Amino acid sequence: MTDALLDIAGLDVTIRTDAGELHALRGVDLRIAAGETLGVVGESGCGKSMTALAIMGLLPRRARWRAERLSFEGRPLPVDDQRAMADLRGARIAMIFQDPMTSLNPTLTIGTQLVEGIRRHDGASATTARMRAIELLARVGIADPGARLGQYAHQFSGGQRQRVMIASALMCRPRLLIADEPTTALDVTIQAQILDLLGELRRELGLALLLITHDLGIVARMADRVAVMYAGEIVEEAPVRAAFTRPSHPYTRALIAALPIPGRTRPGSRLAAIAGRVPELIGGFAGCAFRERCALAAEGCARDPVPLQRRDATHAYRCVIAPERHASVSA
Amino acid sequence: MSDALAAPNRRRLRRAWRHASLVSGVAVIALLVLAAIFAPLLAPHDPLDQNLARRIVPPFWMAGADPAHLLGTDHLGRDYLSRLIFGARVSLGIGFGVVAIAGVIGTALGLCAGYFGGRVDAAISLVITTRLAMPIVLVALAAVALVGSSLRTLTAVLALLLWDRFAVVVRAATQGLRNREFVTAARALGCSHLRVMLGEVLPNLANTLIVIATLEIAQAILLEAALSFLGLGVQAPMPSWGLMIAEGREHVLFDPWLIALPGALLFLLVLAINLLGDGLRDTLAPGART
Repeated sequence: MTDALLDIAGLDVTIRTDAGELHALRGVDLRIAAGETLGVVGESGCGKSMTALAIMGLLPRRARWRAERLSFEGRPLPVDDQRAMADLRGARIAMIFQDPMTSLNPTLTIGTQLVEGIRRHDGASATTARMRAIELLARVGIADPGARLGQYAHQFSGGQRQRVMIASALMCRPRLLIADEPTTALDVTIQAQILDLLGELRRELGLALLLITHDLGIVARMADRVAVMYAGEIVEEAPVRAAFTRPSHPYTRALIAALPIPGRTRPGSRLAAIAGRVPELIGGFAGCAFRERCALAAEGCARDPVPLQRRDATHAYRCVIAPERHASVSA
Repeated sequence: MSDALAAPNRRRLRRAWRHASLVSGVAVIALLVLAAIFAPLLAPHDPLDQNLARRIVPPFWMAGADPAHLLGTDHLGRDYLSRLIFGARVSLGIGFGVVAIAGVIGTALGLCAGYFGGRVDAAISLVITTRLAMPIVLVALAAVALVGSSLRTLTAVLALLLWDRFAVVVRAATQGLRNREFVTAARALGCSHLRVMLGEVLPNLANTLIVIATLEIAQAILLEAALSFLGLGVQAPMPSWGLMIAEGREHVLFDPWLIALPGALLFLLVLAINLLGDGLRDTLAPGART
């Protein structure tokens, strides 16, 4: 367990707002081994992106963070040291964003944006950087990469832009790639291509991948392990197979139940949904955040804090009710 | 799509060419800039050469004109055409000089305020508000009267007064750009704040800056003329359009052309610059790369 590439324990992030303290992350634990893919799922606003930004040291100005452990490659991440962090960003940890339409600068050529990072980090010469850019553009499947370096973002299609973003993230050979909903803004066929590309690159380069998504299908397809987040907490963490076959938190269960299954979900029938809304994260908070939407909620659920239970060495969940009893209660 | 791929710059150039006010503005400005640059070659006489025997010779369309002095002579017998041509140097020099300095000051302040926000923004906004509260002409008059007037102090004083519009617009535009994903993406690549400001944000402001610059050049030129007219700008015998209007003041009843000629040139230049600014705004804005 000590060989984790990224090791986070007890990460809290609070954001000052006019209405009070917003607890964006509460005691998040995450570990990613080298070459591993961890999927982080959860609905909007549950803290997925906030986790990514905390790792990158790019939290919004109003955010305060605290962590028991936040280390990368065995050393603490210098999150508060802007300069040291800038040396890591893009070089050892890279990130790609949700919307390739807006994450490329419209007024700079693709070439300029691609070589920016590698010139900054490796001090590569303009020619070396350009060669690497052409090589990577070709690798991510952009035809005629040499000529396209001189073009602007609007001359690329959405899928191509995301390919360019991936190329730019890989320029400096990072060890960890954080992908924040990399395919949400793309249509389904392109989505599949981009995911295939990410998977190939991960295997080729031995890249660890932190894949943030709200799509369980993507997780099932790409990830080795999955962490389910709800209201700023990780409520379940397990190897992908275990999470889908033996979900142990009512929220995970509900998410999986909400998935339409081709062939089995009848066309036109209502899809299962989780009733209720995510609780307000502003101000004090006690007990299980999911209890108000949970079919199994009992008295013990309001007690604080909900301990993390271990089902086995790799499978953990945060619920006071033993998973063996879930089926009997909800059925 | 194929249209977008076909050299957008050439497309923009074609649209610019069709823009009548842009073309006429550019033509007038180009003419005056060329005249200013090649003034020693174009001017038929030395603009400082006095000839008291031939004072106030009328221009060519009036009776008693002298073919040697196409636009006549002033109250000291200096060739008016030569003085007008050399006067273009002062006006354009002040206009471009002031805006170059003011643009750098205003853009730097606006970028910092918009990008960093918080206390930096509060501090810079205070500076901007303070500057906006000052009446330009009055402060310029006081400053020039205090330091003494020369072309250089005039440029410096005006530059220190005319950066406000740059700062205000750049600040607002930067606030809008700061949270765009490509800024975060650049940060995620390890770019420093300075690098993001200059490399990512500034290129997006280029169009706006060009338009503000043209408007400010026009204002700087008018201010120079006003200060020179009041005797606190360019000093005699240097030819400046504002100063020439001041010198022609006493003859306004009998020889109004002494004022009309430099006044018309001033009007023409400022009009041309405004036409250019409007034209640039029209052609640059809808074609902004997305």
